Amino acid sequence: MKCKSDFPNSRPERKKIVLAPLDPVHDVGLKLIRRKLVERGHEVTLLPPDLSPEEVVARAKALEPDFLMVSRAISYGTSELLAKFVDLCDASGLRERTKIAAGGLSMRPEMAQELGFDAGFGPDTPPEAAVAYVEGREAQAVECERPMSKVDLTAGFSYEFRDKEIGDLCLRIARQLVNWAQDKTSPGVERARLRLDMEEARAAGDEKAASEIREKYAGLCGGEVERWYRTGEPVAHTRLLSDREIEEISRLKEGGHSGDYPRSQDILARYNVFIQYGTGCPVMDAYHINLSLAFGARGVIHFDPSWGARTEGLLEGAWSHQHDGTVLTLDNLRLIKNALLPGTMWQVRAHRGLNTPETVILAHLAGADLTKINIVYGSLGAGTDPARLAVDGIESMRLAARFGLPYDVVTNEELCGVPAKKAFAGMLIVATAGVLLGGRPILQPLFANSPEAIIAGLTEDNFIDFNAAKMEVLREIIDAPIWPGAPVGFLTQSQDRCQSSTMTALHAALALKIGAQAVTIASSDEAYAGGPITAPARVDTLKTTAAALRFFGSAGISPSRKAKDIAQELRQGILDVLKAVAERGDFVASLYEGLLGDKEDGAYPGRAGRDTVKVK
Amino acid sequence: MMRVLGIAGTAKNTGKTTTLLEVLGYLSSLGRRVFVTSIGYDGEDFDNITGLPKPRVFIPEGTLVATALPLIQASSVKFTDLQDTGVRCALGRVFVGRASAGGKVVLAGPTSTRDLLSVMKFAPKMCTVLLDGAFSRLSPMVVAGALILATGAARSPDSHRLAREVEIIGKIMSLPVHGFFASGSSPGGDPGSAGRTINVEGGLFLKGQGKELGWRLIADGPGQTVVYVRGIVNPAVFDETLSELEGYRRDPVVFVISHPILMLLSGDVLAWEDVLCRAEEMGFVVAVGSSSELLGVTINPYRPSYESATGRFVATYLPPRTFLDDIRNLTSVPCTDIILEGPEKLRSWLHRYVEKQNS
Repeated sequence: MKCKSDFPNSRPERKKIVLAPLDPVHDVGLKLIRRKLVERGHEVTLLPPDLSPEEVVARAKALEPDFLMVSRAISYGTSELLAKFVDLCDASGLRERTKIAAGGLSMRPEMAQELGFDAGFGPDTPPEAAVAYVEGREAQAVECERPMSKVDLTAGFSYEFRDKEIGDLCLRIARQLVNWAQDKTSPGVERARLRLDMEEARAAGDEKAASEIREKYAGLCGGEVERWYRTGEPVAHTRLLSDREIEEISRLKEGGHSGDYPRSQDILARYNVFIQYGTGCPVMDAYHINLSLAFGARGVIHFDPSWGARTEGLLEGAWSHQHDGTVLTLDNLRLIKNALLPGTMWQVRAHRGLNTPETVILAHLAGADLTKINIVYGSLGAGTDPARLAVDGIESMRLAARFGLPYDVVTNEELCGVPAKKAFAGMLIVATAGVLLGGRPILQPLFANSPEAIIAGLTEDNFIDFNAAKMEVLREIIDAPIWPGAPVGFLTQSQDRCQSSTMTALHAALALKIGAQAVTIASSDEAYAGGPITAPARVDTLKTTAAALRFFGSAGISPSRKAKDIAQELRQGILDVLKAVAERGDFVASLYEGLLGDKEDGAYPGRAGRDTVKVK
Repeated sequence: MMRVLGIAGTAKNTGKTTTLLEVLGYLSSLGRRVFVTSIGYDGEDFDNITGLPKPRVFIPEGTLVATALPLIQASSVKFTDLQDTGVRCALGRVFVGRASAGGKVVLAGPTSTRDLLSVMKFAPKMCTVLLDGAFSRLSPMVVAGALILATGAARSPDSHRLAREVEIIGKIMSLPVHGFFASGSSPGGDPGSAGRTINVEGGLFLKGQGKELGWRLIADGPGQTVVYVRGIVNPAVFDETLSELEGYRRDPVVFVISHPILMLLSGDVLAWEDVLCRAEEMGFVVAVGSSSELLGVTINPYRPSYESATGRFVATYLPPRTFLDDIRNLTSVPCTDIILEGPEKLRSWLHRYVEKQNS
């Protein structure tokens, strides 16, 4: 149950309340409630904790209160004690005028009802809910506080370089990149245009035109996707969703929300925490999304299958996929969009493969709020040819700017072993190109125990300094939003759910406490799932993240002196990399030649889409 | 006429729902109009505490159900003639509706006697009201004309102890009904041949209250006295009265307790064995103002057992035949295990009850 923390201004009718701990060690909650009730002007008597149920009933009867509220931790045996207590209240005549309520660990409304209480308050209930109950304001008090409006993560940022030296280099390289791409095209770029035309024709009811465009589109596809367009034979490990499954997603939205949310949502509502989904099945995704939103996630990120990045062309229709990654189609996206609650920020990632521009189109058509584009990671860590992704990436950023879609620029190539200085240089170049194209990029440094950190001993003592240094250096360089991910905590989590959740939560808390605009978290089994990600594992990390944020509160986290040293060294490293790329005078060649990550680092220029770039 | 039949338990997981389902089915098969509600929460998929699966509540077509509105809305059963009873429980307002077809429901009705009486006003005059119990709660069952009690290994795996409990509960439920109190006349007036009267309002359940009553009876002097006790009576507190009177007073005293269920709500029920014997030996009469007929007891060998290694409850069962026979052999109250013996015995109790009511 959730409750507004601010009370109405008018003074309530004065009520008489008796509070009774039925458990000697569990009267803290009652004392807190007493304080809140007294502040509201009610007459409150807190009974001592060592009374028998009979004595509590006798004392309450003598006081003739409007409410008797008891607290007791529930277990198999103690629940009978509470049921007995309810009988005593009833048979003594106390309930003729007194409402009885119970609170304590494990208490839920269903349990309160089963035991016979008029109301029940569990550990997730704020004391204000008990006060609201006393004042007869349940309807107003039990009110969903899940944020109903979206946040523009880029609002208020000028994208001006604070570090002129680095800024000038980024601008120089980015301009070269944009100019280089200007006269080039690719099947990915062409398909994106056809997709937009096709969907516009469909929307206008011009099926003939749509069909003709579709034929052209199919001619630009490859592999199993082309086969599907030609023969209708499904891509391996996929099947069309049934009508029943499609209906189930709609029903989830219609009836799935009581408005009662866990306590963790109160805390997470103040932050922008994103989770990643992509179970393969849109129905399951819808459940995972709803569960995550209930536990406080503000945003969700669509993950598609890895083969989708390596295959020319995207399918049409509502598909289920047997393995990880939910097939990227407009129908699937629209189904998922239908399951989102108001205020949910939705990112459809487009950063790494042969369908990047078209994915931005689909994100726009489906109503997504954000996308994800990065030329460097996609080229060096995700298998796409650098020239191809440079052309497609520039077109994607152009489209994102046209549709008003902000996008993050990831640095996940760090996971391959690329040092942060190179990854950040690449991210800054791409982000600068994005700004030049009129877009609103969001920097996405990796918060992780990266191979570089492990080898250089940067995280030997703690995981704070290295990550805090990344934030600091980026803020010193440019006035841009920062969204660590994706997700945070890579290579710090183990298969132990407690350990994994804790690491995720602490990384998320660190990012948010030192000023990140958003953060992406994994589920507790994501790194070691060995199978589908489970719903409880999502709850693990959302609740742990809420707990960590509650723990730090406004006290914040202070990195050690070492963070400054790392930041300085990182800044110098970024500068050196940018100088080398600028000197090379060709961004795409720099990718092939390893200036932004080489084989020694673990980065390999991708081969998917090689030799597909054409001059217009 | 309206009949009220309660299915009460001695603890959680003693088989109330299973018993309820049999009773519902049987009464419906007789063509009786049934109005069902729960004084707690029943019909959920999994137990609120143990997490173990629970029997679902299936209601036949035409059954009138009083339950919280959100549960009516969530039910697969379509309800017609919905009426707001004005009673609010922990899960929302209690509504009454008629099931247009058979199906599963979750029951969450009025939890206090006062609210139960309000909800029962929505029951038709010619029907049987079925009250589904919760945990070991008994208090609202005072409105029931007849009771079926569910007990079993979840209450105690000790069959001997269970048999003793069943026996003493049976004895308490069979205490003589004292007509004067039962007639609704105000006690405290002239009891006629009964002699003087003492009224004890608020029951006898706090230490010292029994002693105080004893002193009043001693101070009352010789002669027959009728003591009317309205409220809960704890056996140990009642015994205080007997202890005070021991050696001081041998004149007849009739203790009239408003309802036998009020003797089962505080203290160890087994303590009544000695206390009632002692009262009888001292020549005193213990009676009740009104009562509910105990039709029989259903016995359930099921017991949720907590496994500390896994942190979960697991379902365990005592040997059903031995468990039932051990209890049956030690009590005069009719007992059956519905799963082991089938529903025939339970039906025979219900048949007798219905016949008696009809006559």
